[in-house]
Amino acid sequence: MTVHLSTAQAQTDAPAATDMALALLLEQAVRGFYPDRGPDQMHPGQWAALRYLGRANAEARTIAGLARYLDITVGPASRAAAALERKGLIAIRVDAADRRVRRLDLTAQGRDLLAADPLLNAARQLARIANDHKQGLRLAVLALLGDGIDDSADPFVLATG
Amino acid sequence: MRVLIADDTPSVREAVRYIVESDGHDVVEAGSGTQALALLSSDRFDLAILDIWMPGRSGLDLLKHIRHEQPGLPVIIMSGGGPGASLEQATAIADLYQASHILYKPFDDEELLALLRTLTR
Repeated sequence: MTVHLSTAQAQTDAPAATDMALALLLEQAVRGFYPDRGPDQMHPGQWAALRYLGRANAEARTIAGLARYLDITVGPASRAAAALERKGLIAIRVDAADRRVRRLDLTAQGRDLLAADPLLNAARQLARIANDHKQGLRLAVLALLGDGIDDSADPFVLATG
Repeated sequence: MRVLIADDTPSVREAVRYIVESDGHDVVEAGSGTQALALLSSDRFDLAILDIWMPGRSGLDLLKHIRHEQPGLPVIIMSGGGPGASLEQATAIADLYQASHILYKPFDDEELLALLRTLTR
């Protein structure tokens, strides 16, 4: 059965203009985290891979570990690693004990680039936001991600009063 | 030191227990987040090592509870792949709730031992 919505019903389902504006501004804010764009620039997925390799313990710095972290399959993870290797940011080597395993390590150039991670600037901007506003932002972001945070169980609600 | 290890995979619990006990610590195991939550309420621990994904109460749920009830308790989150879940997002949430360290699976004995010694120094 086809259900036709009346104009009034369709309008009821439409988000409020203010929520739409907030969504747009949120998108703008996030886009602003990565000011450098273009085919030769690092894209957010590559930054995510680089961050993982800068942080994960050695045994987990593999193609499979990267795939798990990014929630992608091994094929795309291999291609992401190859792209970072072409940029000189990581070294890929075959594991001595198991030739099926590819181990990934940051190069000096990769570590230098990670020290200029654009998210560091974003975090510095967030640090300037008042704690009570940041608390609201944290809960809003977690809600958007579907984390289902219960305000009453949020330790930061108590911590900030 | 009294250490709570919570993971729903028995072989992981066993391996982590072996490493932690080899460093001279007492271990209490929980096979689920719910069991871990009960232990956290009834017992006293110096360190918790929690799997990030467990059925029912996840390691992240437990971390939030710990930060609410025992803010100073060191917590290591062990993170592996979840069912259709983004580990990138989950580990960011663990950072948000101030996990002491995130240990990515797989890890070897020395990596966990080094971490234990850093956290108990």
